[in-house]
Amino acid sequence: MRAPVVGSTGKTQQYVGIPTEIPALIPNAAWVEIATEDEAGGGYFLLHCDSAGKCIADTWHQTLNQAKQQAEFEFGIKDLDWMAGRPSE
Amino acid sequence: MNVVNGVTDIGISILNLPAAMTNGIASVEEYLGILPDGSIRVPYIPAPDWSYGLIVQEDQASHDWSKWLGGNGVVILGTLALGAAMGNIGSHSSVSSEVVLAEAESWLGPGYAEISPGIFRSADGLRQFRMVTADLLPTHGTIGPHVHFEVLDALGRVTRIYTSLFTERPLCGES
Repeated sequence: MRAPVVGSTGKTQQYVGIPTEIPALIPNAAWVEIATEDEAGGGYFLLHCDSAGKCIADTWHQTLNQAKQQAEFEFGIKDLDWMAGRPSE
Repeated sequence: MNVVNGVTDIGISILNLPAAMTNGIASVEEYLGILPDGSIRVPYIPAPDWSYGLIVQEDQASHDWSKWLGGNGVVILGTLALGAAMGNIGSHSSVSSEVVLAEAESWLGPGYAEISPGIFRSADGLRQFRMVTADLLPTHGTIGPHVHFEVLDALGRVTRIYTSLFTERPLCGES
């Protein structure tokens, strides 16, 4: 499932780099997608995608509900904003 | 002009390296009797001394030193500047697996636990290091193999995340 990103709450900062160095900020996503983790431990990825559909960042969550909570926390995405499939579909 | 001439000489020297290596190997093989004398020689690209006497008259030795010092000075300063820039970019984009693993130990602190395969959480639950197979292969995105250092709030939501790229591909199954 996916949802468009219309803004950021500013509650989560995404960087490229390691914590002990001055990292570079990752730009805001154009939309997010929740994908399941196929590994034994399971879980859900909240994928941050750019306007071209490429994943530029991600977070991992133990449950689907936690992945949705992260999307709301980070981008203000509500339950009703989620759609099936990807934008190109 | 001597400096520019010196830099072009260095550039031509670099271009001539493959020929020098080929000729060097040929010389050794000739010495060892593997090849007949003078059988293989790759011609060098000439490096004209076009700046000599162009603006001021100088003796050949001064001219040669001026070219050599000026040219090498520019190349060394340029290399240092490029190295500094690349080092900065590199630190933002990629680090070695040794650095990442050392950083992860420090990030999590003592008493951390693996809450799911490849996902490690600190004892207080506020820091996380993530290195799942999907990140290492990777199966998502176009940024290459990567890991994540994350700060969580009391509800487990991610408030800060550092995505670190590997300079080399880690071995599968290391997570």
